[in-house]
Amino acid sequence: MTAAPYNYSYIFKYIIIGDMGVGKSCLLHQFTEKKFLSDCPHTIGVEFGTRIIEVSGQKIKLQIWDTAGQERFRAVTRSYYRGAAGALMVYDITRRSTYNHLSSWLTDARNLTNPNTVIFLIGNKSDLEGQRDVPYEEAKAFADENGLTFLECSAKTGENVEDSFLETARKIYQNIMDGSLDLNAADTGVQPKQTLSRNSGQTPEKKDCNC
Amino acid sequence: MLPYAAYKVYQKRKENQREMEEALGSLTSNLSRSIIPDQVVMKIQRVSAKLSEEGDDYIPGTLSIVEKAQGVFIEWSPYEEGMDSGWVIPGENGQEESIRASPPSLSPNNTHSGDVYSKLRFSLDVNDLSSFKNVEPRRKDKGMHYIRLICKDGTSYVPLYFQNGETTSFFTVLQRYITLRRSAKDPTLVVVADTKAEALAQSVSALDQNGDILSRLMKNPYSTAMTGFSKITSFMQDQVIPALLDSDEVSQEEKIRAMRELRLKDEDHQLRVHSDAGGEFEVVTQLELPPRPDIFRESPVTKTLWDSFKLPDGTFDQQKLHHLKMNVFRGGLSEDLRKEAWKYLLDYKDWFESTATFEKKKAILTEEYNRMKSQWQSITTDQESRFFKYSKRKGLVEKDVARTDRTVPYFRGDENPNLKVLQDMLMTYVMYNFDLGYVQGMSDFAAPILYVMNDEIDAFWCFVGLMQRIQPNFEKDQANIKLQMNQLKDLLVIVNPKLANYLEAHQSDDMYFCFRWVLVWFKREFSFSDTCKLWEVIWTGQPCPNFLLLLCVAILDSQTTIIIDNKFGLTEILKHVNDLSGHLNLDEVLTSAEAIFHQLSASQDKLPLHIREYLNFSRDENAASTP
Repeated sequence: MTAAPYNYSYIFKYIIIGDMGVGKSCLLHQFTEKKFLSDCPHTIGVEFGTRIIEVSGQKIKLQIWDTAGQERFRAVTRSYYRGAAGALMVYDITRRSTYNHLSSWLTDARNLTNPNTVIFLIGNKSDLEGQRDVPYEEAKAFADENGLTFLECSAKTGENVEDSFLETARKIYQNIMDGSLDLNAADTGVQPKQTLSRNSGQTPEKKDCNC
Repeated sequence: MLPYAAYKVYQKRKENQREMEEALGSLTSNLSRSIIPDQVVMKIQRVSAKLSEEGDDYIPGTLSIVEKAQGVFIEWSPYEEGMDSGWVIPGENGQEESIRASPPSLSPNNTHSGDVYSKLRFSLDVNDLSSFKNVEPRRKDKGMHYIRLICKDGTSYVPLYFQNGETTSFFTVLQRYITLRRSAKDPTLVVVADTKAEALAQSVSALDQNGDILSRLMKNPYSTAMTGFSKITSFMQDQVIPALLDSDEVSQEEKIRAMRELRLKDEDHQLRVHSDAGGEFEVVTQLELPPRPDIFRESPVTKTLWDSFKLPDGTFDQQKLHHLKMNVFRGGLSEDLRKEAWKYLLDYKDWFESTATFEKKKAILTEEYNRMKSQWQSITTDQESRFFKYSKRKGLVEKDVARTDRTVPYFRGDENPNLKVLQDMLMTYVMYNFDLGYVQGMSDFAAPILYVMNDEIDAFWCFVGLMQRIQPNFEKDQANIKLQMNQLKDLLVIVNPKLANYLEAHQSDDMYFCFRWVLVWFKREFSFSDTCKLWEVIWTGQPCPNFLLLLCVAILDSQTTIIIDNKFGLTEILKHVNDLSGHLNLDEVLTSAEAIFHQLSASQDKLPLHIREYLNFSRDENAASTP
């Protein structure tokens, strides 16, 4: 079941950021297609992925922007942050340098998105325990310090991948429900979609208003 | 036609399976939803998806329209997998009929056929449909009718070819749910009419009868320019129309006020644009280019033709060189000639260098290469641990080599020795140009060169020749990329002001959605073999510098109606442009880019100075003739 045949109430924009080769595109593929492609071509600019998920009984369409990681192209990739409701910030647990760069990625994520954007930290390649270069506790402390949710994942085995994407959506949805995310504000990365009834030709019922 | 009975069985099985999936799905969702059963309103067999523009890989499948509790969906799915040997069904009269249901043959560009296969399946809410391309074969007996669905979010689905030609019934059923209208500008584009916009158009025309607002609105001083007009319409569609429609209580007075504000806003905007561009704005927008000439591609240059341009010592006749380059520009090279010709096109071999001189040079370059290669090869792991700048570069190269063109047979398989050659080539380039180092995109250029040369040293020096030209694209400041984006926008303003303006009004005039095109020269948009064809054309440097940008203009120009009629915004434009990958026809792109060049060339005396400079049109006739 690749494309779930369901209508959805919201579109959330996600952005995946992090150093080159940490597995951003692989995480995306694992999430959207439940497959691991080790030789998936490196991203030039940006690529897109979508999947419809369910949070608290609401169907949500995730529109995921997967960006190129190399420092040099930040000038271009920075233009893709705007209006992201969720940012998945990825490092590779087997390469410390990718972890060391997190603060610079975090600065970008904070500066270029809105204050309500949910930032989720992912330590990828958890299947390569033997080559671990960044202890879990250290990254966890970093995440706590910066108020980020954190999980170690494996795009290869699929471990925790689903949870990372879903947890981010739950947090965004929570922000909508408790009113901290104002749907009328600009660039929230959340787009309510009017659910259309089966009887066509009639005015679409506005399901998302005043509920 | 397929025997009905056989299909019945097949469909039944398929439906059962789907029902089970649905049932499972709805268990986890709202229970009340599962009460209303899905109803398949129509089903068309033998609707095939075409994987890419190149080749004839059609994947047969079923197109259906299904009413569900959640809405109405257009669904397409390939016939069941695993029928690799073709699908044979006993026909009514005993004869057997066979359909090719196997995955497409593995051309250099397709792997993971299973992945591709299942990935193509889709289910699309009709309310997410924005428009579709509806292309009928030019001749009844040749080619198939196809459609390509385009969503509101900018996604384009794979083209679907109707093998039975049953498009009419599909459109008829679709019209029950949405209103379809053929685009006035592009007869092959069918747009889903926005009921809101329609209603407003009517209300505006009613308004117009009373107050003549519309004609006054259009009468501002700059609206004669096409650009102004398009801006008004897009602004009206996007902002004013919905705003007016959303409140039923809006009085006539308020409507008029809104229209006036709109006019003022538009005038302000026009003035701003006008002053920004100095005195040239009027000239620019009013410039009418001559009609686009018909251009045809020629056949590839053969070894015999190529050799006929050579003198006995192996050098090329200087008088005829331009002619040869134009031949390559118009037809590309035959495959067996590439290995030799690319050496010239990439400045490894000099056109006026005899075979003997080149052999001497090659000996030196070989030594040079081996020396640089041994430099990095002699670095031990221990040294590496204290040599971060080096180990970082090495890591980047390793990461990208493992994922460059791995679907091409030449690089396929984990133990493929060519991967190591590519790795060595790029590592040696890092030593050759350590300051620049390795930047993503370089492997995209190196791989086809290695494939064609099939020789590490030749490939390396050809790559160096190419990098000489494109190195600025990889520099830290990315200034050259930004420069090209600006030039692209300037060219588009001249060639297609309407689209240029639309992009500006939709925050897309930084042209970043063309970044990939410009960085890796369409490598990700065309198949491996088409990329080779395209690059050798560009490398001739004909008919002008920056021909790459004219290719970009040509592609964008061909997408004008789709972008504007679907009212794409920034995200959708980016997504749409990304989705063009694999579905562009190289010959069409090349011929229209060349045609645009001729259009510009014919009106070069009227073009603004900067445009003439981009295309190297001589600034004034006298200067060209003075020695």
